[in-house]
Amino acid sequence: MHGAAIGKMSETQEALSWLAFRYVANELNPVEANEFESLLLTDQVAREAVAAAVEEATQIRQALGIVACAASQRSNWNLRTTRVAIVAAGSCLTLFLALCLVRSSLPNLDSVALTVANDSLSSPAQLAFVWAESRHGLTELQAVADPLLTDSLDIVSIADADDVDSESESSLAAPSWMLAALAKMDGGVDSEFEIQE
Amino acid sequence: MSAADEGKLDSAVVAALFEQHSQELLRFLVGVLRDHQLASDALQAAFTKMIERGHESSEESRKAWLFRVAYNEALVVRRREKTGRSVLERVAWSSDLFRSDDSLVQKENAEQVRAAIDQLPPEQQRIVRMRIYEEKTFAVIADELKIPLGTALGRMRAALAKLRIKLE
Repeated sequence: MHGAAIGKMSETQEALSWLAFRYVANELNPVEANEFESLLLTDQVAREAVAAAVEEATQIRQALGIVACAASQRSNWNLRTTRVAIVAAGSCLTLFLALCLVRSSLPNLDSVALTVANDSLSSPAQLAFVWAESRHGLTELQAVADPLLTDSLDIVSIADADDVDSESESSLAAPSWMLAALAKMDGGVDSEFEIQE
Repeated sequence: MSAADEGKLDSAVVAALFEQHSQELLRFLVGVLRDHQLASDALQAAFTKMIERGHESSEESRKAWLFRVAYNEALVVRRREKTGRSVLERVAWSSDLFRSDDSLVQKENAEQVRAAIDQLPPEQQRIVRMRIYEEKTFAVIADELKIPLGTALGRMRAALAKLRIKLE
């Protein structure tokens, strides 16, 4: 009997709390609202129920607001990180393509640089060969870059047409003075290339 | 003590009453007026009455006396402001009335409430969010979720009852 009375009181309190919530939520129709406001004139428990309903709803709103705020911040952070990653990847790709283009436009310089850098020359003759090769390549490159120079080279070629065979052969070969100097730097072991007085 | 002061409550008693009941009273007034400034005005008027005529109430019933006087003041304020029923069209919890100065305490409270909400069934969580955070009416919620109005109300009622027990 005692338990049943407590249960009934609890039910009444719960019903009053629900009524108070609907009142502060503006979910009562005008007739219900007027009746409830009449109750507030006399019933202290009803007044306290209104205060409790406002507190509950405010706390719930604050809690949900913090969750929503945190979710929004996470979303913004992810979006920003993704954008930075895309921009960085794009920049790297552009830089890589630019480097590839530069490398492909200067093949001879590249090969000489690699040869020298690797210090793979075992004899002065090889050095002379590389030198001649690069000289030839550079001449081609300059000719392409400067048509005027190309024309002047053609004029020289025509003028020396008679000596073409010997001169053109020798222009591609390393000069004898250079070979002699290299031999001397090498320690003078092979005196095959000596400076001829 | 002058003759004018004879019928008044002692200032220490009024200060103690303010300390004990002002926050709850302010919540009640916000529930009635749906406006923080108007509620503060009514609260001030109620305590002025308490100073002037508080001796008429018995010590046991002072809280109820204070709430009744405050409620009458709220009705006067409402009539004076000519806000009428338009005031009641707002919800009470939009007010920033209970923003605590101690943000750590506020955060801890919010964490507790959030944990309690997380334990609710998903369909109840959804109704609570839509009604209290998104401030949608039950009619709109029922329409959006394509459920009967009674079902929406029932879920909210059940959710609030559970939260009340968890947060007591």
